Amino acid sequence: MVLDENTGKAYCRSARDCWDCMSCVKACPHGAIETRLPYQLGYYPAKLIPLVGSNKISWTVVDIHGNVERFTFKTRND
Amino acid sequence: MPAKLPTKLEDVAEVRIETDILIIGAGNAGCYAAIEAKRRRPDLRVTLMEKAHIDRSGCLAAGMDAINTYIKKNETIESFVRWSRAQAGGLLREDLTITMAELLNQAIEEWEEWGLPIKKDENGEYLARGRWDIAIQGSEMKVILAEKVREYGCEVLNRVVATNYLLDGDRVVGAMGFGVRDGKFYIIKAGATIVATGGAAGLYKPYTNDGNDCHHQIWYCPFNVGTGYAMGIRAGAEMTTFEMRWCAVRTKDFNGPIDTISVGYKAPMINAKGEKILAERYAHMGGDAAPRFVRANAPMEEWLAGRGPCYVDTRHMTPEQVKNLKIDYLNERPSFVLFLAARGQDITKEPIEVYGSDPYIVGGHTASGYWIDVKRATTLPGLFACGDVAGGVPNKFVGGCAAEGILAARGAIEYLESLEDKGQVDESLVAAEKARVYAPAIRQAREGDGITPREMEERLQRLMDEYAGGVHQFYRMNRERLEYALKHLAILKDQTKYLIARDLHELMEAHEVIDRLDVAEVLVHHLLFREETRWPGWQNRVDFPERDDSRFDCFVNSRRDPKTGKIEVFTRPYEQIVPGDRYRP
Repeated sequence: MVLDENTGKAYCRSARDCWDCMSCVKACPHGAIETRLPYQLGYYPAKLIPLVGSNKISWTVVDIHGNVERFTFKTRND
Repeated sequence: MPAKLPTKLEDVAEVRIETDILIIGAGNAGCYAAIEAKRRRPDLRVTLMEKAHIDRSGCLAAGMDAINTYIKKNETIESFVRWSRAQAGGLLREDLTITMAELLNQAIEEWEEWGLPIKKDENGEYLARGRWDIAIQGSEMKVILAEKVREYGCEVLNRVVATNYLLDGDRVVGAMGFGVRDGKFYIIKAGATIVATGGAAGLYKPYTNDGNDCHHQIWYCPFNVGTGYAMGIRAGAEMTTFEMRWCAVRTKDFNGPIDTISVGYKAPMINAKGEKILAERYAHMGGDAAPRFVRANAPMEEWLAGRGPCYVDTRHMTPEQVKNLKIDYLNERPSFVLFLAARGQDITKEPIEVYGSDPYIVGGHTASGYWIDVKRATTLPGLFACGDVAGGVPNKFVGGCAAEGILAARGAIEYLESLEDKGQVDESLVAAEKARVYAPAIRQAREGDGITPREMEERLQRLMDEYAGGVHQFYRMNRERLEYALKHLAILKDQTKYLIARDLHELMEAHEVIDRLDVAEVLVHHLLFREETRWPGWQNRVDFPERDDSRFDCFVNSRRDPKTGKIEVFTRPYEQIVPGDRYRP
């Protein structure tokens, strides 16, 4: 990620080098980052959005047909 | 904001640090080394040099859903060696495997204490996923480990790229590098140095490369570019087994793990005709338990024979199993769940397609890396290696890299305690390295024209793919192609003087491609030397298609002469400790 001085917003400077590991999506405290798959690999519009808690995480996934699934699991021992 | 790229060497600020133990690379192995060093000797200064940020750097950045090497109650170190040996085509360092195995469980149990959730079965034992595998919820495992490193009082230099060792004669007395955010030149003098930079991705062209944003849909962490290998090669360290490349079967188009499905949910690999490939065509090699190179090669052979595409057959799975599988993926590779959604795929109706990855050089799955002793000392005095950068021990995986970190720290402390003097910094070498590091920036300021790192990276990847057995060539190679690759690698190495960098990030990329070239050259020498096919799928010499125990039942090692640049390739004998047929588990 790098800051655009003109807009004051951050952007992914090397989308080509992204591993799509979603670490930045999970780490962003404002939920402002979204991973979109390259169109060569996946169709539009699908979404995967995390909600990060202190020791658990919830993921919401929406497929290209609009089907929604939710998953919640522990990420740290209490 | 990142600092501006220097345009003159005189403008480059220096940072000088003196430490007791320098660890290069703060991934899994490096973090365990740091923790072990500090808890053994809290009085020592322990410094980690990390080109990214320790919280999310290295192979575990995205998380993991299993630990693949945990020695369960009904298993022993000997049974582990037998299994690992057979998986590796009969070739591994038994002494190193045994010493690693002694610590495998300790590392994982500690991680659990620090916060890593490990699934349990009805008896309260770790939930088994296969013979050596246990199921974890490792989404945050690297963050948990990084917290522990800080808690133990280790010093972490984030966003500092290592470029070369500091040498006093042939002795390693630290390392040099630059700050990818602050632009400063770092000279870190250390009593002992541990390299833990991981293996090398990006030597070969991935099949998803099509000019779009999917260049790095690859198995291995794309930020591991072989810098630790390259620094060792340039300093004259002995390397081993580069020719045992790692090529993985992965989900097609979008890199997702296959063991999660095939081992975790008993989903067999099938071809386009619906035949169970491993059970029906590879029964004589162990069927579903066949060595990993067989499993990597099987779907590619089916494609070549006109029986592709291939799949893992998920159509038997229950809704609850699918939900659990997706949770596994969300722990290790969340974007694979996004991929299924982006394909609108119901895996109970449509199986998941599989394909081979581009080849990588790693010491944690296969055995490429520094030639080390049981204390994890390399052939360069003062330098220790652990994790993917250390050679001789395949099937380390997460637990083994952690275990090796512990061993390297113990080795480094013992070395440090035996030292009579801390060695000298040779200022002429420091000045030469500083000029080498910033050359692409200076060229950009002076000439404003040259080769971008990306151009050279793609040239290298195309060359290796076509002439050194990449995925587009179904991993096949022969002498003539390899010699062609060497010829052009030499041209590329000469052309690195034309590299330009327009900012600090691109300066890092310039050094990444320089490092990859050094690794690729040694790799091709190894591939040329082993005139047999020991691991079809990982190393297919079409001009020598059979295994040849009379000549190659041994390790292939190499050493680059730092004075002449000549690479010498030679063999080291196999030493068997655990009795039995080395090709059977």
